[in-house]
Amino acid sequence: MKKLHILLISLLVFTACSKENSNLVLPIPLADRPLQLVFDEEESGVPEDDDEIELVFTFVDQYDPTGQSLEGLKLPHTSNLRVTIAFSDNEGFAEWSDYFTGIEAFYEIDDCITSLDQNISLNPTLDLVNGRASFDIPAGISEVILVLETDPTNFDNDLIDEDRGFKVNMVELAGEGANTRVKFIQDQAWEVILLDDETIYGKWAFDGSVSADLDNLKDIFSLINEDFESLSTTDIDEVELEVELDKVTLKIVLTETETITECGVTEVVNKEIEVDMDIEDLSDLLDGEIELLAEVEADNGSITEYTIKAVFTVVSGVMTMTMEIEDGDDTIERTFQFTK
Amino acid sequence: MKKALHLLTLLLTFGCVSVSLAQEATITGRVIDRDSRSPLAGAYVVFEKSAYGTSTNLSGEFQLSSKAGKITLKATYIGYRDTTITLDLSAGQQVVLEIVLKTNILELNAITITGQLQGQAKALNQQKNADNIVNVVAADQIGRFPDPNAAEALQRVSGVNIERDQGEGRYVFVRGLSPQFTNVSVNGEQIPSPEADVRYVALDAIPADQLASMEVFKTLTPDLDGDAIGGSINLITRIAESTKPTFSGTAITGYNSLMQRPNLQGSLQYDQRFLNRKLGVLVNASYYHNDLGSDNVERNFIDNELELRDYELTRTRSGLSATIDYNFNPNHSIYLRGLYTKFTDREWRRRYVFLPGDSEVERLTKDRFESQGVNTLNLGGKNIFKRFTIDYDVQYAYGFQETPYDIEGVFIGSFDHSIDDSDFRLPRPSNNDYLNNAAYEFDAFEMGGSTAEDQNLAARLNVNIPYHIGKYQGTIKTGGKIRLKSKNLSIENNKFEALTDIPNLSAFEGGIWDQNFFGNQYGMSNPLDLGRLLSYYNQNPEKFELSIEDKIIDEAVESYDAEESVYAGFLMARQQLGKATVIAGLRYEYTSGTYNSKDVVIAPNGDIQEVRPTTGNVSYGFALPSVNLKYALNDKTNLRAAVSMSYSRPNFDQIVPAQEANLEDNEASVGNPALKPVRSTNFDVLGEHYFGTVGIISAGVFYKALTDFIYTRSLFNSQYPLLVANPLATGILVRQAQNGESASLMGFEFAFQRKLQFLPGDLANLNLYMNYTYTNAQAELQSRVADAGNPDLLETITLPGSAAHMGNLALAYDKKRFSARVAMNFNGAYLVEVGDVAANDLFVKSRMQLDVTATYTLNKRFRVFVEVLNLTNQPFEAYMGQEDRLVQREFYGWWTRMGLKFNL
Repeated sequence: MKKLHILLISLLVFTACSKENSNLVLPIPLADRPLQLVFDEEESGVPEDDDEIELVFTFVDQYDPTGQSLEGLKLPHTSNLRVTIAFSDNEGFAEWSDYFTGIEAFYEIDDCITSLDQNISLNPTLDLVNGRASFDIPAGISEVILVLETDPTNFDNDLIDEDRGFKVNMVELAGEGANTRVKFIQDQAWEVILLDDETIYGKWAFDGSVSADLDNLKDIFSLINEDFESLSTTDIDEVELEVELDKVTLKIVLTETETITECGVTEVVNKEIEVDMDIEDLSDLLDGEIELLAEVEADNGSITEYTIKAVFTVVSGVMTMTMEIEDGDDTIERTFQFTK
Repeated sequence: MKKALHLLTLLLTFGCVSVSLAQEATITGRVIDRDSRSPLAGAYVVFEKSAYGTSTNLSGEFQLSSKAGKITLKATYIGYRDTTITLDLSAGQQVVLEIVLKTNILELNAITITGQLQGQAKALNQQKNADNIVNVVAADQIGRFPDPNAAEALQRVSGVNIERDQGEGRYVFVRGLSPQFTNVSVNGEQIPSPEADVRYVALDAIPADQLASMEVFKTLTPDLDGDAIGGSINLITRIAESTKPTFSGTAITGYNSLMQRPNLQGSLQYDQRFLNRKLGVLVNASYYHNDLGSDNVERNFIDNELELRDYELTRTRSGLSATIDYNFNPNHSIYLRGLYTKFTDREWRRRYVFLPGDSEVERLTKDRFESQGVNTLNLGGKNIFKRFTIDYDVQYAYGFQETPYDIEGVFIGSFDHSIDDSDFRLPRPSNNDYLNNAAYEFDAFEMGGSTAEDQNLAARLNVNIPYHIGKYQGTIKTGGKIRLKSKNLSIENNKFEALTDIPNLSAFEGGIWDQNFFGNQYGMSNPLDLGRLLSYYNQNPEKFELSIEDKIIDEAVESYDAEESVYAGFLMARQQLGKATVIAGLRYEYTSGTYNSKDVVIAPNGDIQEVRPTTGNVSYGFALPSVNLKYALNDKTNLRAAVSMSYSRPNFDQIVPAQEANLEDNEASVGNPALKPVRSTNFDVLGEHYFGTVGIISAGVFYKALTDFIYTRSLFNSQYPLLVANPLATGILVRQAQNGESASLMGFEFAFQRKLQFLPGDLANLNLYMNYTYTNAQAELQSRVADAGNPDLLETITLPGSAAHMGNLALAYDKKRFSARVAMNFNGAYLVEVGDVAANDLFVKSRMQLDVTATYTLNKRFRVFVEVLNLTNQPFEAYMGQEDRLVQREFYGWWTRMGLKFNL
């Protein structure tokens, strides 16, 4: 029997040699992962004459262990938080007080009502000397929008100046209390870039009353949006091309109107046709190439991608842009002029 | 109707013969070796006059019945002198005999080779006297070849080849049919598969030294499970034999040339019979620790990718078996048998993946631990009564595969490069820019884990009834069995991507890596040290984001649970007709199953749309008639023929109804609970002659006609879900395992084994062992050029897993205390994966492994030995379409084992 014991003990000792745990570092369990408070974007572009900048603070979606929410869900933090952010890397202005004029913070209660509508204050503060701001995130709130009010005249000039902007970092999270699971990324920055409207950025007008020019527009964009096919000059009130930091929007405002009701307000508005395109590549802000990607969702939800490659020049408030798009084996190429 | 008539005939026969049973006397006993007193398994005990006989079981026991009167019994055993005994029997008498045989070979008397030729003799006697075509590997034979696990020991059997993993044998192919066509049992009862998706068993989880013997049944009798088209393998654990306390074991160490590390192996067995041999106790424990690795290059011609893989592994095999058996008297006995095996595998894999099309190189490191095991507990017994014998067994078997962690980190660098294929054996990147670790950015890391469990609860009862029809003797055997199976797989997979900037690879490099990868044919730099990356993650978890959709999809599609119930019954007769023995009968097996899983639908926009539970039910029954004929030309020569029907159940990954529909890519893969098992009608003819000096020459042919062969069918322009009125999507490509038209397999096998004592001088000490199997297997499936316009176009392909040529050649030298053996094992090339076009078919290249072993017997109790395996460093190679399109080359180096075997 003694020998039997020795035999069994030997087996157990040998089993320990499987190296199951040697030199092993395991990731922390999923349940111990923090709730992550992050900026919802890495960077944003703000027109130089805008009077406010919105920063969105949000919690990262978490896995729903019940399996009900397939895309994940915002697990609520259970205590009130106070977030402090710091501004840095200011370019194009020396003092924060030169540009920032005020601050507001709110969260959306539903699509029509915000916390401001209900007089709920998130106690925003703005320290223009040290370049800091603070605001509250109440328990259970998963997204807060911070509005930095700015002086719209500060950068609104006729000069070409591409290097203006600043960065924002979260630097402190207070009031966690029992909820120590909330963390933010120390070195994550939101870069705000001021877009110079003397360059490609900004809103451009297109003359839709010239039949030949409209036909050119239809040749390019009918592939992406079939509503273009039947357009005539008489249908069009105005055509606008807006170039932002990472996307371009072509908007056709029609003469035809419709009555819409939003958040209890009914109004008559012009119908619009819009084409949204992501900027995949932009070589220069005044004279260069731009590559745009449009995604079109079919009725069954499938996505078709269209790429528009263009060359452009901006001279004295006029942008000449030659666009080309693939149509099967053919390449359609058209040239347009846009004005400020 | 024909089957019913057949059954009725058998039942009537059973009824008629029972009348004559009252006249019978019963003879039971054991056949043992005179010197060692050890039982002689496979000895043939025969009535000299009628030539009716039976063979002894592993304990040397036999049972016969006879009419009253004078009879003469003869016991024969290859390598031993025949012994005859005359008895005067009265009606109803029960006689217990102990028949002692004496060796007639000089070498068998010599203590110096104890346990070598005896093992071979045991195996050959069992083969010779079996009613069906069977190959037996005895424990002593297992020890003669350097085979640490059950799969590698089986590769020495004719018609058996193995699939290796990291150079070690894992899966067994019998007669050119892939592993799912072979049934694996322990002590006569099927064991569950530790793996998640399949039914077949990875035999590298079972240490060879836990086994008393292994049987490969190539033809089926009705008392064997019918789901075995290729064959049926039975692994038999040990039982106590000696009344003296016996301690035997091994102490082994070794060396792996690739890893330049030692390995360690040991086993210890205690066995003893108590209470005047009535109670037997045996405990056997073994352990094997092996540090191994491989250097691997993989070339993907379709996606134009190249991978360098550096593997480092630590594997252990632990085994514990115990048997307690109690013989109330020679006619009544019970046993309790337990087997515990655990195989662990810690694997580190460091990869470079060259993607010239994307101008990228990926660097990956994986760290995975996996344990597999098969545990069985059998309680059974045998009762011999005057008119009949019963044997019964209840088994609980549990197979598991647990992966507590499977972690892989990925960094990606941008490099312009191409792949230079000028030497197809050594494809390489066009430049060495990829060695710059600072250029690799973090992409993701995954942490996964899974648990697969497979449990069987089985019970069987057999009744054996002797009878006479006129001057001819025979037995009728009938029985039933029930097996309840539950199997499940649960997985967890978490993929983390960066939410913000993560340092580049140079911040996480480190750890051990192969400084001599492919003999320095490729440049390598410090790999990713997963420990450093995960420490960084644990300190900064907020910088990483869980990929929720990937988690949901992976876990839902792969997890499942299944319940299967199998009910079987059989009736068979064994009839002696002069020199001929006929075993004929019918087996019926009924299976019902329920499979639960989940469907995942990915919407056309790429978002996950729906996860919903799904269930499939199945039931089927098979009547499986068989006839085995054995004709003894003389004491040492048999002719055999057999016709049988068998089947093979679909694997779980084919039959579980899980569906993954990707409506963005317009394709879906769909499980098929309506899948029918593959059926086969098997024909065998074999001639065999045994040499008195312990040897055999045999040759045979076999043919299998398979129907409902399973393959993956592409349903063009189909709908999802299939066969519903309002599908979610139409015009999509659906892939589903379906039953094909037909397949056939024909083959020839030859075996030769004998001592070459006719040679002059020292050459007379040589032993030759060789076998060769040829197979030609073809299946008719949906053509690869079939399309929506012609979906039913067929083509004929070689059956996957079927090698045309395979064999073994071993030459041994045995003289006095010294024994040496050179063994070659050869597998021909075989198709392993059917490509989208014939040029993309994936083949495993032919491979020949050379092993040598030498033993020196110090005295009766101690032997020392040394073995060198894979002496010529043969790689595993796979190619696509043609041999110069190598898609994988993997080298393992050579390794040794040396040590002491003792028997105290």
